[in-house]
Amino acid sequence: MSANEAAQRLSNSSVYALELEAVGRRFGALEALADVTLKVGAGERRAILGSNGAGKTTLFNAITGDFPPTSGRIRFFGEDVTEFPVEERIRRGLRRTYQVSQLFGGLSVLDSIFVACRGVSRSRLSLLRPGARDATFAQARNIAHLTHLDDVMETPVAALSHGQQRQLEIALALSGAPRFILFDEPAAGLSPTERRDLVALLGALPAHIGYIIIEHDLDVALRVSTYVTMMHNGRIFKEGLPSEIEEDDEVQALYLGAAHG
Amino acid sequence: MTLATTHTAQAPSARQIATGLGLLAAAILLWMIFGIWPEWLSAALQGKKAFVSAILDGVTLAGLYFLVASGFTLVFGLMRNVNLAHGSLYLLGAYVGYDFANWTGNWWFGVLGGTIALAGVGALLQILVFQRLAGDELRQTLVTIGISIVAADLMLAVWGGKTYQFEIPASLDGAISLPIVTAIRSNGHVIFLRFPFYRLVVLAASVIIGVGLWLGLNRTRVGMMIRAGVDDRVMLSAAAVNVRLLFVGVFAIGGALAGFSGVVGGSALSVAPGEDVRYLMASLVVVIVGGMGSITGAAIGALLIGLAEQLGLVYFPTYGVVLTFAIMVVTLALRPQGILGNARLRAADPPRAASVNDIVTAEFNPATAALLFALILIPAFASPFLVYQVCAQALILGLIALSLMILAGYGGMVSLAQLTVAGVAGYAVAILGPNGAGVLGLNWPLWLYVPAAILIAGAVNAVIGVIAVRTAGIYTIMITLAVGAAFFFLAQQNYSLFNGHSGFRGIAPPDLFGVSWRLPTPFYYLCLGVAALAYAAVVYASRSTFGRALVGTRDNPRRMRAVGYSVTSLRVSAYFLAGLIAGAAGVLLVWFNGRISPGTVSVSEMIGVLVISVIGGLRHPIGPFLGAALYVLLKTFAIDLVGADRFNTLIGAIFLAVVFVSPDGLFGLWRRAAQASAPKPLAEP
Ligand SMILES: Nc1ncnc2c1ncn2[C@@H]1O[C@H](COP(=O)(O)OP(=O)(O)O)[C@@H](O)[C@H]1O
Ligand SMILES: [Mg+2]
Repeated sequence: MSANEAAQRLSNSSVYALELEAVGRRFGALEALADVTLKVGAGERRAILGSNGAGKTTLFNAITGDFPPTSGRIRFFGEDVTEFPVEERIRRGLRRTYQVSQLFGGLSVLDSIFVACRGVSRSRLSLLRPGARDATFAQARNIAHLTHLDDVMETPVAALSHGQQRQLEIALALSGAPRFILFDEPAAGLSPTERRDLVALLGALPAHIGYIIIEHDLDVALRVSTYVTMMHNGRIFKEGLPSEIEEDDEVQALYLGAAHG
Repeated sequence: MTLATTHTAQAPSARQIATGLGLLAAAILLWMIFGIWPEWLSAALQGKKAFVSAILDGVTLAGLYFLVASGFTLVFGLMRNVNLAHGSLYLLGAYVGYDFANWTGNWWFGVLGGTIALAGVGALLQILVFQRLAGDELRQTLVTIGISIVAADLMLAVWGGKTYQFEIPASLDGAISLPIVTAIRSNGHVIFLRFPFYRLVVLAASVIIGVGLWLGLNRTRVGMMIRAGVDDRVMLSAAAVNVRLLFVGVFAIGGALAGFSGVVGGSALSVAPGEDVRYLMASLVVVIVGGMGSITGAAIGALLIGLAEQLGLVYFPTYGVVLTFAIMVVTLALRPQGILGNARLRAADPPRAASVNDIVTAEFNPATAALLFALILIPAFASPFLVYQVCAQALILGLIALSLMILAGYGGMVSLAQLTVAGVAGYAVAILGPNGAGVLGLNWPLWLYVPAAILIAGAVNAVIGVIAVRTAGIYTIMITLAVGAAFFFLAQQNYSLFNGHSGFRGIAPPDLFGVSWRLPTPFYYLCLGVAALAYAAVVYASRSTFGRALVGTRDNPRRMRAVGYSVTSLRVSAYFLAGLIAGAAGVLLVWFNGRISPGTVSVSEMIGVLVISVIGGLRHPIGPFLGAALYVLLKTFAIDLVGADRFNTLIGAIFLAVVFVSPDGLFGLWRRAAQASAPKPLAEP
C-alpha cells in the first residue's frame, strides 16, 4: 500500500491508537517477534493472519505488556507505554482477549464482568458493597446481555461451557469503556451460530473503538476488518485491503496448503 | 571492523561484573586470612583472631547447612515438593545415630546407622504419602507440616527433652594449628590459629558430598533425568525410566543426606528437641537465597548464611539474625527465584490451590444470629475457667486464624506469619503501654497505644506482603515461615527493644467504664465483641469490590492485570487488612496471657495457627473459629483424653486426617452433613 492510501485511510483520525516501532521479543535463543513496525489508527479494525507460531499472540503480549518487548517502542494514543506495567496500559483504554481463556473460576459471570468494569475505575479497591442499583452492575449486566450471557449471570465461571467461556473472554474485553481491543482468535471453538453472533457483535461496536483481531477463519477475518496484516516467522510480510489479501496468491497457497497452520 | 574489536568494545555484562567483584572480594578475604594485619584493622575488627575464627566458623557452619539443605533442594528440584518435615528427618537421624553409636560403641556405625535408617524413612514417605498426593503441591506441603508436628512430639516421647552429646572418635577430636598467623609476639614468637579438627572434617565431608552430588546430577544419565524433573514426565517415561523408582530413590537420597547431617551436625553441636525447627529454618533460608532446586545455589546460599550468622554473632550480637534476614530480603527483592534459581520454578502465577477453592459465600442469616445468641449466653452456665481459658482463648486464636483465612481462602496466599503479626501488636502494647517488667513501658494512654498497636501490625503485615507477593504458591508458605522465624530469633536475641528471652510481664486489660475487663466474663465479652465485629467486617467486605477482586487475583492474577488491577497493590492491601485483624487479636492475646515473650511467636505456635485454620476450613470465615474451638478444647482436655501430654500428636493426626480426607475442614464436614439431612438440597446462591 502506498503512503497516500494510508493517509487516506486514517484521514478521519488524526491520531494513531497504536504505533509499534521495530518491536522485537526474544524467548532465550528464539526470536518470536522481530522488527515489527505497525501503525493502527483510532477506530480502525485490523485483522492479523498467519500460521501457527507466526508470533501473533506474542505481538499481543508485547502490546499489552504480558511479555513486554525486548526491543523497540510502543505508543498507545501517542503515549510511549513500552515500559508500563500491564495494568497501566489497560487503564489507558487497551483491552484484550486470550487465545486460551483466562478467567476467574471461582467468581460468577456477573462478578467477573463487574470486577473487570471496576478495574479501570478509582473504586477498584473499594471496601464498600455495591448496592443493587449500582451503576457498574447495570453496565456489567448490559455487557453480559451483549455477549449472550444473560442466562448464566449467576453461574460460577468454572461451570460454563466452552462457548460461554469464550463469550466471557469477549465480555471482559468490552468492560470499562475500552478504546482499543486486541482479540486473540475469539471465534476458535465457536459454533456457526455463535460465529455469526460474533461478527454481528464486532460490527455493532461503537465506531470509536478500534481493534486488532487474530483470526484463522478467513471468512470471519475479512468480514470484520478494513485492513489486513500478514505475519510469518515473527515478521510482517504483507499488508493490504481485505479484497487484495483474498486474491493474493501467496495467501491462497498458505491457506489452502496448510489449512489452519 | 573485526569481531574481536566489537567484542572488546562491548560493555561488560552484569555477569562479568559480578564475577569480577566476587574475585576481588575473595582476594581481599584471602589477604585478610593469610596476611599480617596492620594496627588499624585489628582495632576495627576486634583483632585478627576474632575475625578469622568467625570466618572459619562461618564456613564450617555453611558446610553443615549445605548438607542439610542439599537434601531439601534435591527433593524440591525433582518433585516441586517442599518437604517441611526435612528438619524432623535431621533430628531423627541424629537420635537414631546416637542410639546406634551407643549400642555399637562406635561413632562411625552411628553415622552409618543414621544415614541408612533415614534413607529408608525418606523412601517410605514418598511411597506412603507423596505418591498419593502427586500434583497437589499445597496439600503435600500441608502434609509435611502435619508430619513434622507429630514427629516432633513422638521424638519427645521416645528420647525425652534432654540434650545428647556424641562422643567423637579420638582421631577426629581436638584442635589443630592452621598455617594462619594471628599475631607475632614482641619476642618474634609467631602465634598460629588453632581450630577444632572435627569441624574441618565436617567441612571436607560437605565439600566431597557437594561435588559428588553435582557430578551425579550433571554428568550422569540419571542425574539429567532428575534435573528434567516433574516438568518432563513425558520425556522421563519416553526414556523408559521407571519414574516411580526414580522418585523413591531421590527421596531416599534426600532422607540419607538429612540423616547423615543429623549425626554429623549433632556431633559438632548437640542433639535436643528444637533442632528440627532450627535446621528446617536454615534449609529454608539457604534455598530461598541460593535458589530452589539448585545444588550449586544451595552451596552459595549456605556460605552466605553461615558467614552472616557467625560474623553477626561476633560483630552485632543482638541483631545478628537481622543480617541473615536482610540477605534473604535483598535476594527476594532482586531475584525472587534465588541467586541460581530457575525463574520457571518460581511459579509466580500458579494455578489456584485445590484445597482452598470455592469459597462458600458468607452472608448474615438466622444461623449467624442464633450462634451469636448462644455465645452470649455461655457465661450464664459455664464456669469462669471455661469462659476464660477455653472460650476467650478460642475466640482470640480464631481471630488470628481468621486473618490467615482471609489471605489463604480469598487470596490464595497461605501466610504463616499471622501469629507473628499478632505478636508484633502484643509487643507494641507491652512497649507503648504500661507493663510490669520494669523495662521500657512508655505508658501511653489506652486510646493511643491500642490503635497504634493495631496499625503497626497492619503495616508490618503489609511489609511482609511486599516481600511475599514477589512469589506465590508454596513459596509464600516458605517465605512467611522464614520471616516469622526471623522475628522469633530477633525477639529472643534482642534486649534493647524486645527484652530478649523473658519478654514483658504484667500486662493487663484496663478498668474502663467501671468494668474490670481482666475478669473472665467481661474479658470474654470483649473478645466476643471484637470477634463478632471482625467476622461481620469480613462477611461484608467479601462481597465488596475489593473482596471480589481478591478472589479474582487468587484465581487468575494474569487476567486481573489485563482488566486494570495492580495485583501487587491488591495483595499487599489484603495483607494490610488481615494484619489489622491479627493486630486486634494480638492486643487481646497479650492481655489474655498477661505477658509476651518469644515463646508466644515461636515456629510451633505459628504452625498451630495454620493447623487451626485448615482444621476449621478455609472456605468460610466461620471455619477458623470452629478450628480454634476444637484446638483449644483438645489442648485443655488432651490429658484426660489420651492419658499423657500427647496433645501435639493428637492435633497433628487430626490435621493430617483433615488434609487427606476433608480438605475443606470441619466446616465442610458440617455443611455436607447439613445438606445430607436437609429435606431437599438447597441451591447454592
Ligand atoms: N512465553 C513463551 N515462552 C517461550 N516461547 C514462547 C512463549 N510464547 C510464545 N513462544 C514462542 O514464540 C513463537 C510464536 O508463538 P505465538 O506468538 O504464540 O504464535 P501464534 O500466536 O502466531 O500462533 C512460538 O515458537 C512459541 O513457541
Ligand atoms: Mg496464538
